[in-house]
Amino acid sequence: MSWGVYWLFYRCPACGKLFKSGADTISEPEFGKCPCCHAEGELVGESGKVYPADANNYEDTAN
Amino acid sequence: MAKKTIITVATTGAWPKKKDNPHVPMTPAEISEDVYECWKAGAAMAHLHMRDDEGNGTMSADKFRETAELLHKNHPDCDIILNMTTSGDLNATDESRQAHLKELRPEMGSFDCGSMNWLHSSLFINHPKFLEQLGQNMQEWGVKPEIEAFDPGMIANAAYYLKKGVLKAPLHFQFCMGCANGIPGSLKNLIFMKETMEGLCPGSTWSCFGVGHSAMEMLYGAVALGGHIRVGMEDNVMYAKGQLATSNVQFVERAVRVIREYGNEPATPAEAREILGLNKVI
Repeated sequence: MSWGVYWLFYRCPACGKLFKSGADTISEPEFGKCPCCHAEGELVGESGKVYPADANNYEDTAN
Repeated sequence: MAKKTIITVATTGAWPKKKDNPHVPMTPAEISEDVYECWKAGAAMAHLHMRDDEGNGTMSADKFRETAELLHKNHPDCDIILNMTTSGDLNATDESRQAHLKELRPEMGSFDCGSMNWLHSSLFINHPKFLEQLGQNMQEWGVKPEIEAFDPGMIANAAYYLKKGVLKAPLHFQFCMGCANGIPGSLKNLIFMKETMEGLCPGSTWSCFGVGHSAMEMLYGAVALGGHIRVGMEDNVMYAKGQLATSNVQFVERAVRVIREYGNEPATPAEAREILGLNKVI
């Protein structure tokens, strides 16, 4: 049994963009940062806890 | 003669739903048709999970039976190896996790060789008593275990069970790479898993999959290192960054292309049976 990527979901406090970072990319410099304005995101959900209903609308920050 | 690489398709898993990807097969009818299409595309083995009527993971023997019956009734030409999960519902009992194996006797079943945290919120329990019972039962029922290892310690557990007679050589491992709470999915870690297996359980065969961003690294790594590969929506609902998969066949077709570009050939189910030491005669 596997369970896909463990996502951390963010909202950018500066521009409002919704984005997500996979826990498997935690060492990447862009992890948790807005792909548009590079501000540190505000955590709004996680795969195993509060999973957003519109999860596919969040942009993946991985390279 | 080209080396053969076994493609396993994990069509469904226990977590993704239609809202995550509308193409995830959920019902026995959908799963059996999807398995058939993946077999035609080059998969030699199907790793099966079932869902209840609400789409949640279930260990219902009825659902496993219905799926296998639909596949064999509608597609009698399909000789794909069926590999049924024993871990499709975190709330299942030790008995319900094995009931379908006892009744249906699939050629393979998963054997999760240790316990771990699950999604940073719960526990994935595989108690030693359960594993000892499952290993003995699988031998009695003629179901070959696929040893799922989420970290190197689970390979060491398999070596222990091999010594104790709970498992019987040759073992077949599935290295589960990149899952939360498990070993990260990198080529370096895949080599470490392989070498750990070779040191502790020589003569074993292995396959791997990478969840999420490590999927391609694990696909290429498996082929280059002489292993086998698992693909499908259990592990990835995205085909590439920002691109939802359109089907499980899409993943199988990509694996076939990579295997052939490398110079190998996808194993047929008959060839996979020979590699894995399965006894079924078609």
